Amino acid sequence: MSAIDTAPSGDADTIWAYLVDGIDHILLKSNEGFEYKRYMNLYTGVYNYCTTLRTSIPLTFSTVVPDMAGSGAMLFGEQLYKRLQEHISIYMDGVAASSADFTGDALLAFYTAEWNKYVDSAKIIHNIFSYLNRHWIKREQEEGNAVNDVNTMMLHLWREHLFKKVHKSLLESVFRLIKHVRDGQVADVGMVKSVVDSFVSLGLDEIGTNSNRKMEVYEKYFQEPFLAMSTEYYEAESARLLQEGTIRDYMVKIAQRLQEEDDRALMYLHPDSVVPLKNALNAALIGKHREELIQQFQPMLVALEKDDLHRLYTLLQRLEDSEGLEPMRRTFTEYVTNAGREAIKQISGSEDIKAGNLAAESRLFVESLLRVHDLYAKMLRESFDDNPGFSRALDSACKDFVNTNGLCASGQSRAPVLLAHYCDSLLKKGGARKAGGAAAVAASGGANDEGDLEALLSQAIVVFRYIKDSDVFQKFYSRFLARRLVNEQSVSIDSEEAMISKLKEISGVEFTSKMSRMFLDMSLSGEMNDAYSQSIDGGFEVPFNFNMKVLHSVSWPLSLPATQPQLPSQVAQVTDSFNRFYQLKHNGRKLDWLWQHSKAEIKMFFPRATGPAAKAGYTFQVTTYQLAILMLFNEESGPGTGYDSPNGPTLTWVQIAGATGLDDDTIEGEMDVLCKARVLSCSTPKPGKGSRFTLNGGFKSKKLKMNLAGTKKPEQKRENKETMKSVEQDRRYQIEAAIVRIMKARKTLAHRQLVQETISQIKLFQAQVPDIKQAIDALIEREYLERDADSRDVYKYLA
Amino acid sequence: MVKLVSAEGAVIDVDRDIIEQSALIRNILQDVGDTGEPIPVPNVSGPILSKVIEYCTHHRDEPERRMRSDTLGSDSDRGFDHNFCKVDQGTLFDIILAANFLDIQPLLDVACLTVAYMMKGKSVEEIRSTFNVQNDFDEEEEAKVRSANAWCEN
Amino acid sequence: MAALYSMPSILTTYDQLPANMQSFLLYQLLRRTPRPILQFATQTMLPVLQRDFVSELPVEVSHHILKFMDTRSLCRASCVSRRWQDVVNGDAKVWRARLSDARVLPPAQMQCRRADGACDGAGGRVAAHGPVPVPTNAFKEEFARDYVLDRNWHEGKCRHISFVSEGGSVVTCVQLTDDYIIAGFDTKNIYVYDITTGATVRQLVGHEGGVWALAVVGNTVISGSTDRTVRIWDLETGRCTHVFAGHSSTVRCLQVLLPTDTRTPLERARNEPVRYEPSEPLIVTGSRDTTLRVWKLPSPTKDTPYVPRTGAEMPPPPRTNPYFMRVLEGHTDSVRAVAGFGNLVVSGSYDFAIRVWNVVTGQCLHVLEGHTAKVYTLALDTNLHLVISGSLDGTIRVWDWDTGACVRILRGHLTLVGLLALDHNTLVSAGADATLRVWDHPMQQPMPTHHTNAITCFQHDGTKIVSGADGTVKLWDVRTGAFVRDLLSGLSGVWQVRFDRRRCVAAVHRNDVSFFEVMDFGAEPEC
Repeated sequence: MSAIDTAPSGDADTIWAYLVDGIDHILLKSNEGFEYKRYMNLYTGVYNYCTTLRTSIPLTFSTVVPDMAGSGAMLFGEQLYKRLQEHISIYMDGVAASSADFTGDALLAFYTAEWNKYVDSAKIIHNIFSYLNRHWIKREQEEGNAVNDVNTMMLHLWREHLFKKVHKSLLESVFRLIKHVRDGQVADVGMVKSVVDSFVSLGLDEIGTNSNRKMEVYEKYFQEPFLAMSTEYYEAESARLLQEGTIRDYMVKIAQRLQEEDDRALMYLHPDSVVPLKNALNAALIGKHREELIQQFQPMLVALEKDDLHRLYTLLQRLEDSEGLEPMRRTFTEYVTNAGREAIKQISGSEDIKAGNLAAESRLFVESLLRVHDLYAKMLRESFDDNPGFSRALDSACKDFVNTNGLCASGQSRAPVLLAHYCDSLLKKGGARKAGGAAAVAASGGANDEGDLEALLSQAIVVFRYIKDSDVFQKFYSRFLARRLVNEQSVSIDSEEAMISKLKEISGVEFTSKMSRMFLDMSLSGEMNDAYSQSIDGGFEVPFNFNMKVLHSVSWPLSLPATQPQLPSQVAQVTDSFNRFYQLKHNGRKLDWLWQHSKAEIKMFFPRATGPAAKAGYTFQVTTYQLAILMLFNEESGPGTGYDSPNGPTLTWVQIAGATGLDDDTIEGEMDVLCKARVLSCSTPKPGKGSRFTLNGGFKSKKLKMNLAGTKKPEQKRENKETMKSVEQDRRYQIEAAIVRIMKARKTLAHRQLVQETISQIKLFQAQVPDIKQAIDALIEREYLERDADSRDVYKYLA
Repeated sequence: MVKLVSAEGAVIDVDRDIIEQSALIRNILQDVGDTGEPIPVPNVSGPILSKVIEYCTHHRDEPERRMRSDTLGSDSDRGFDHNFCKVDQGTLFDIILAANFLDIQPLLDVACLTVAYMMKGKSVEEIRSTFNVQNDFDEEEEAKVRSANAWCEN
Repeated sequence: MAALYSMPSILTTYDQLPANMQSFLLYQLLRRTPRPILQFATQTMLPVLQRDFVSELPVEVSHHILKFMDTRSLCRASCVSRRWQDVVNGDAKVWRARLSDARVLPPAQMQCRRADGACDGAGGRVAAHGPVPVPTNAFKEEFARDYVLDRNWHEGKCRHISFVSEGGSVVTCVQLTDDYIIAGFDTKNIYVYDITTGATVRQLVGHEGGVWALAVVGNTVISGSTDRTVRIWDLETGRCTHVFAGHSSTVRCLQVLLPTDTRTPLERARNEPVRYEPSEPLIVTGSRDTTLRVWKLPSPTKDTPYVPRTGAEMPPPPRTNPYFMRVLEGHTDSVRAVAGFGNLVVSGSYDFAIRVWNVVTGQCLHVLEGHTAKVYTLALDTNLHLVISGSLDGTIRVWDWDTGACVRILRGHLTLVGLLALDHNTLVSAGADATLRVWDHPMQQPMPTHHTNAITCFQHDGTKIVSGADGTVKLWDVRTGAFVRDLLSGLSGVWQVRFDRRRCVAAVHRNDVSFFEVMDFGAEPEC
């Protein structure tokens, strides 16, 4: 044996002998380490084997000895490779022979120890033979010959000589080890990891390049049996657990087992197996018992057991959606829907609602909805990890019970009306929030400031999101808004605008454009008032405080007065003056006076008044109509005046109608208020056409200030009806517009498609098929569309 | 810092990241570990080893050169590589051997490219005299060989 | 004299000195030496410093040097000495790498045309015992042939003959075989010319209308005509052996489907079993009657002739025709282009759609919709399973034929993309907008655009394009995108161009007369 101090050179056998010595050292005594010098000498030996052997042959022989021509690393490369392969084979035979001495865990220990050593050795030998890899092997591979690099070749030998022989019993040992670990015993999982690694590394195919097949050995020899064994183990385990305890206990236990397996998988499995193992365990532990598990869901919901709910969710979430979460979501939706309906049912018996108190009803309604929503939104957060599927399920449940429940029959669009009322009560001065909204305020924490209002409005928005017919809400909301603005009853303009921007956020600019315009009109009117008060209209001086609002008729849901009163001259003077002022600024615009929304404050002195009222009189807030009527009674009375009573004139219905120009309905309504307030006396129990009226000279009231202008109940009902009517009109118009838009684009379309597209185009409400049919007929009548001559079912657009 | 020992026993210190451009040294450090002992490079003489280190020092911090053995230096490096190879034939020859032995592919490429350039556009006789090669063809052989390769001439 | 006697001892002393003293002593001596002697010294020294890189390095390193050499230098190097010749020619690898590079093929796929097996391994080692040791290297020979041919193309060195077209003036289609030019005309003619002499060899008589589609397989000629029939001819005898009627309008395009191994490269790499499709040779014809028809391809020599005696007025019902297989119906306008691979047929139509069919089942697998105008031309990428289509809408679309999805739209042409060809992973398109575009495949950026007159025809083989525009026939280099030369000029029109490795045939129009121009780049040019 040559000294290891110098690099081997000379003939092939000498060099090989040196190399063999080194290889054996690497294979057998790698723990002893290695000197640079020896490593370098081995590398140089390989280099010499491939290069100097050729150059040692005299050049002149090159054409005479054909085998040597153009060979170099080529010819001797092959020889060296074969020698190496042979030598490693012999070594592997030795290892295989030794392995026969071991069985069971000892074999496992032997295998992993040998494997770990061999992998390192293979890498080093590969590097030492790198000159061979770079030239001869690379060239062979380029030519398409199935020659592996040294490392791969060595792994092949391991597979052929040892692995194929022992893998069965090896696997048994590994599985036994894994079972021990699962049973809670201490074992060296590092060995599992080594075996797994060896299975993966051995998945080389013949050329060593095709990555598709790389995992085949691992999958076939390890993963498949491993999964089968795991399934078997955990099926037995789950049967045992179910026998020992309740299903709730079972859930706790398997959640823990699954977590343990997840952790272990990271420790010893190949990443490719993590998911298959998970699936197998899920099937064995959860999938097999999923029905029993899902049955637990409803009781948990009833009892609001948030931890159990979360556990159940976490478990079922591991299954295919259709197996696990989907049935759970179905139950959830159904349950929440019923809970919502039940809540409404409970309040629908309350006194207020029975009495027809809309304000109270709307408040109870919204609060109940929110209670249900908040409860399950919290559950979504706490127990279902804000899972988007559950979030959708909650939404669909809310959509369902918000729109259809004990107070809102399906198809009636009552929910948006109630919500609009609720918002109105929040935003109106002296609305339900102060009077009856104590509960809501208390619920939200007490103090009644803007922050609270903000919170309540945000909650109202939560409900709004679920409203189906948002066009109805829009109509009612803007009507109430108009009323609040015109009557200056808003709690705060900031809150009003905040609410509008929230609505805009959800439903778009279009939805709130008219409302925004209303705010603009309000502020412009303020400026207009200032300008008017500073203007000089031919020296005319306004004899009283005058305040008007100029509103764009398109933006405001207000209609012209049904009746035109004959105004008292003082008032008429002012309005004429303002008309002139306005025409100067905006020539061509027409001003209509909405008397029904106007108010005045008057002071009345009653002849028989006593106390402070005698001096100061009574101040009444009245409608313009009331003003016109009351002014008639302002005539002087007593001797020489044509009226004998100190109470002033006594006027008949006809006289009043003639003097004020009001229609009978209006007179009836206003008289009702004035007589009930005992400002006027009526000759009959109820004001009627045959009644005569006179001032109640003995009027007495504790309060010196009274409001007679408050709206009356019957009117509210009528307004509601009118609003619904305008909603219907709008819907018709929108349906027609959608149809025209679609047909303009498509020119011809079959009936069914047209109906479908129309429904999908309209977002604010759910268009009903009969309404669409009606709209189509109307459009045909107006010659926007015609039926196709050939097939009646097809429409054509007429430009 | 790594110590290298040249063929004649001279010890040369070099930063590890520089000399790891040699796949051989990289492997040796990886497989044996960094023991601090000097690494013998018995096949390379001191002056040539210094040249190789000069090359590797210039190209340190260019990891992609190690990855892509098929590309020659970028344009800015051409100047350096070109000048680096402007040496007598003996030195160039030894550099090629060293680059091949140490497995420094980019250096092997530029050195081989330099040799190829030395032949470019030269006649057969010029090539012979450039490398001092004896014409060992007899006349008949030479005529045959020439005519067999005539297709590449215009 | 004494000095002379002391010389041996000087030399002995010198030899005994350590190396650094030797250099010192030598330095001192040189300093004392006059110029002529120094010159003599240089002459002695230089050859010693020179190194023979090709002979003395390990051969794998020598080969690495050869890789960087141009072809001419390499040939000269092989003439330097015996040893050099061995290194350059003695190993198949050197020349094979060069050849595979030139042919754009991976080295493992390089097969030598020589059947004697001499190209396996190191090609030329066998010649050692012959009297003249010129190693032969099959790859080198192959490379040399390509090289010379290529140079001739580039330099326009060829034997050029030109003859007046006898069959008519409008040439609709041209096909080449080793010996013949076969041309179809808008009259009812098909002519066969001798490709070397230009002599009319025979006429294929029978069609009653213009011939618009033509294919040649071995000795079988297949033609389609405005007379609504498909005819099969024996090229050697000129006899029409089969007439297929059935289309109710002009037969505009046809595709022959020969049994082919249809495995993808991946499947081949996995050694999956060979799949030959279709099981027998078929013809697919596309017509202005909106249908495609599938026929068995008869052999004019072996199969019984089938020439129904009825006139064109009353074509026989197709079911009596034993070669008729099926109709592919679905298009709603003329079928303009057809392509096929294995059992798969793809058709492009004036109805803007492309349909993918299985000829065996007759099933329409996909309708590829997206073009906004008539589809004129198709190409298939059989490795990546792609359909490429050119349309009047100015776009080229690339579709996945397995999923039917449009995977890419290539924009650039301003109007009709009438011609497409895919070869060696390079797609070339030509359009009515007078441009020729080379697209790197699989479909990256287009290479530079080449302007010429409106392009009427072109062909490419992965390295060169021959295109016919109004006045010229041009040669382009596919890989650089550069214009090489005008092969022909001064024409008034180009009907068709076709080329093979050696020859280029153009049917052209000059001074109101149609000519065939044949350029043979493999032949020694006539003086």
